[in-house]
Amino acid sequence: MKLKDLTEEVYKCIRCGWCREKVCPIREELGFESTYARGIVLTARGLLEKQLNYSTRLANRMYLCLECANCMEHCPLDVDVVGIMNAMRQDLAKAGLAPEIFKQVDLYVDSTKNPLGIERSEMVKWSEDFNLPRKGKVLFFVGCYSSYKFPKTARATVRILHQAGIDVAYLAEEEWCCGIAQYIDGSADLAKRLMVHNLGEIKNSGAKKVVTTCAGCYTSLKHEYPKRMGELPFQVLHITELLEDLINEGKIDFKNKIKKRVTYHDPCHLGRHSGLYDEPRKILNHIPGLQLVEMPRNRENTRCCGGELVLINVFPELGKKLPEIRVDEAANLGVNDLVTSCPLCVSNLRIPAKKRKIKVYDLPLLVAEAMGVDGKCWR
Amino acid sequence: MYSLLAGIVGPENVSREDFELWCYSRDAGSVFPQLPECVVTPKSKKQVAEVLKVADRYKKPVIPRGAGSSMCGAPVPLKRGIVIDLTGLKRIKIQDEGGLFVRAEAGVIWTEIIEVLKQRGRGIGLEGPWSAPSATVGGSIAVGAICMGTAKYGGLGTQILGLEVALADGSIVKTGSAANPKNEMVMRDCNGADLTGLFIGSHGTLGIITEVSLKTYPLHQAEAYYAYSFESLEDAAKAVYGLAKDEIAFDCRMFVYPVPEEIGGRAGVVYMLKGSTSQVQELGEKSKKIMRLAHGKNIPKFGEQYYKGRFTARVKAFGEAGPGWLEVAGYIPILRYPDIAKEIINFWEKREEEAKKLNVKWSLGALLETHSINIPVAIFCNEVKREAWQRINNYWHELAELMYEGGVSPYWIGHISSHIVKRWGSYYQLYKRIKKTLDPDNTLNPGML
Repeated sequence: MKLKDLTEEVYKCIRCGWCREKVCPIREELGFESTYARGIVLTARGLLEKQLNYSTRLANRMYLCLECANCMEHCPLDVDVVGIMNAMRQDLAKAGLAPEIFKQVDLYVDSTKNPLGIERSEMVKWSEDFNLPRKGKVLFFVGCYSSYKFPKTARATVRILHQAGIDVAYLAEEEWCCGIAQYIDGSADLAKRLMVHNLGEIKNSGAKKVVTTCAGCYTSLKHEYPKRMGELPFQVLHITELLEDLINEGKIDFKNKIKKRVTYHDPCHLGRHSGLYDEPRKILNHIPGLQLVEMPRNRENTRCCGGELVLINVFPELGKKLPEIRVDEAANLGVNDLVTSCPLCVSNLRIPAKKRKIKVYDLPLLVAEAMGVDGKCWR
Repeated sequence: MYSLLAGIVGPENVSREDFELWCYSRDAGSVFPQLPECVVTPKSKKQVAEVLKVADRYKKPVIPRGAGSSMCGAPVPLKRGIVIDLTGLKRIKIQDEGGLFVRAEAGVIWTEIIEVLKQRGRGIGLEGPWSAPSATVGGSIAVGAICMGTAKYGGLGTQILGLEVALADGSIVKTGSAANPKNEMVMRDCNGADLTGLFIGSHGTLGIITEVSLKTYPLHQAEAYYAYSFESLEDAAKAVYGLAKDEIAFDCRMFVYPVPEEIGGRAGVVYMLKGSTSQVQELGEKSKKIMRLAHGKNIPKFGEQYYKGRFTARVKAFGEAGPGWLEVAGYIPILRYPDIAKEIINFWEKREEEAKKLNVKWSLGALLETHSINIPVAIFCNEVKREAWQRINNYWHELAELMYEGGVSPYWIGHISSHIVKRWGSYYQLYKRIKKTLDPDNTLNPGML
C-alpha cells in the first residue's frame, strides 16, 4: 500500500506516546522521538505534508524499526504502524535510498531465491533421507532458515509428522523465499514475484494444508499472501497449531521424559502478528517432566530478539545488543534451555546465548526428542 | 555549540536531522508545529546542567520536554533553540525502609512509580494525568497537570515534598528540606518561602525540574465506582459540591457535552471511592444520599466501566472525535460552574453551523479538585483539513478569552493564555521579576510567559 493511501491511518495518531516507554526496543537504546512509533507516524505525516523529504539519513533511521509490533499492541487507537512503515520503506526502496545491505539481500533473493545467498542445490540437502513427494494434502513449507541453516529442525518436523501418520509433501527446489523480508524492506515487486511463484507451486501440489515451522513464513503465507493475492485454496498452519491438534487427537505419543526447566520466547511474528501464544505453551506443558517458566516479558508483551536478519550488518551494535537483552532475561530465570518457534529467533539468540551457556532451539526438536524420533538434535 | 553539546551528552545523543526536529515540533495537542534548532537527549542530571551552561554561554533558547504528551504546547518551541528531551533521566529511589516518600528523576513515568511502590505495599496519591502510561513526572509537574485522584488530593503540588531544579546558568538547586545538603527531600514547607511552588506549573520558564520527591500512602484495599444522571447543571454541580464538602471522592468527573448515552439527561457525574472496605462502604452510603438530595438518578455499571478503563477510554474518545485536539481549561468555584458552562454552550451554539461544516467537534466536562472545579473544553478536528485546523486554533483562543474573562483561572500559560495572564498587572509583574532574576537572558522556554 502507498503512504498516501494510509493518510487516515497516519492522522489517527494523537501522539499520546503510550508506544514509548518499555515498548520499543530501538527507542530504549537510541532515545530519540524518530526511533519509535509516535515519531515514525509523525515522520510519515511530515512526508505527506511535504514538510520532509526522503533521504539516505531518513532511510537509515526508518530501517531501524524491527516491525516487532509491540507499539501496535500498546496503541489505544490501533494505528497500523507496521503498514505505515512498510509504505515508507517502499518509497525509500523505489528511490534507491534503502541501506546497501538490503539491496544486496534483494540481489541474493533474485538469484538464489533465498536471502542468505546460498546456492539452490544446497536447499534440499536436509531432505535426502526422506524421499518426500512433491504432491500431497499436507505440504511442508520449510522456509529458508530451516532449509539452509537449521536442517535439524526440518528433519525433526518431518519425523514428527511421519510418526503421527501424516504423509507430508514439500516443494523442494521450487520453494522460494516466502517474500517476507522483501515486503518488510520495501521491495514490493520482488516480494510479489516470490509470492506468485510459491502460490502457483503450492496450488500445483494439491495441498489442502500448508505447514511451516518459521514464524516469518507463517505470517507471510497466512496474512500477506491473501492480502495481496486473494483467498487461498488451502489452510496455513504453523507447526505449533498442527502439533496441538495432533496431541489432542492422540496422534502424538511422548515416550521420553524430559527433565528440564525451559523458558519460551514468543516470536513477534507468531505472537503479536498472528496471536499464537497458547499453542506452543500447551505443547510444552504436554511433554512429560518438562517445566516451563516464563520470562517477565512474555506473550503479547514479548521482547523482540533483534528481528531483521540484516540488522546486525547495518547497525552492528544494536544487532548485537538486542538479542543479548532477551537472552539475559532467560539467564535471570536460571534456565539452560530457551525454546522458541522461529528459526530466525534461534539464529539471533544463539550468539549471545552461547556465552551464557544457554541452549536455544526450535520447539519441534524438543517434541521430536520427547517422542523418541530424533534424539537430542540441538547438540 | 554543537560540538560542545556532543562533548557533554555524546554525539549519538545530539541531533539536527530535519526529521528529528520535525518529531520534536509537536506535543499531543494541535498547536501548530515549530521546529527547534537541535535536540539533545541527556542521560543524567549533570548532563542537563552542563547543557544549560552551554545554552547560557551562547544565549540559546532551551525548551525542556518530558513525554510530549501535553496538549498545551509547553514543549513546542516558540523560539528556535535546544530541545532537551528529559526522558533519559529515569532513576527511581526509595531510600527509607517503609517507603514513605519516593524520589524520581524527571523522565520517570507515572505508571512505573506506581508499579515500584506497589511491590512495597505503597502507592502515590495522584495516579498521573490522562497520559499516565507515557507522561513523565517532571513534565507533568512543569505544566501542573491534572491527575486522576484530584478530588481527594488536589493539585500536583500537594503531593510534592521537594524538587531538584537545574537553573538557567546550569546550577542545581534543591528545594524544601533538601536545601540542607545533609538532609533529604522530605518536607516542602521549611527554610522560609516555598520555593518548590515556584517551579510547579512554570512550563520550564524558571528552571528545569530534574528530580522530584513525592509522598506515598498505604495501598487502598477497596475501590467503588458510581455514575448518576442529572436533569440540570445546577443539580449536577450541587452533587459535586456535596462530594467535595464531605471529602468523599477519590476522583470525580462531570460530563456536560456530550453526555454519554448510557448516562443520559442534562449532565452526568461519575466518581470513584478508595479506602478500606468499611471506609468505601461508608463513603458510598454518604455519597448516595448526596446524589439523592441533588435529584441524581443512579446509572448502574457505568462508573465501573469508566474508571476501570480510565486512561484508555479517554484516549479512544479523543482519537475518535479528532484526532486533532486542543483544550482550554481552568479553575473556578464549584457552584459557579453552571453559569460558565452555559456561556460555553452558548459560544458553541452560535458557531454550530460553521463547526458542523468543518466537522469540528467539542466537549465540555468538569473535574473536581478538592475545593474547586476544573473546566476542560476540548475542541476536535481532523488535522488533514487545514482550514479546520486553523479554525480550531482560533476557537481555542476565543474560548480562552471567554473563559478567563469570565472568571476562570488558567492552569496553563504559554500558547493559550500568557497574553491573558499579562492583563493581571501586579501578578504578572511579580512573575516577570522572578523570571528576570532566575533567567536574566530569557533562555528558558522563551515566549511561554
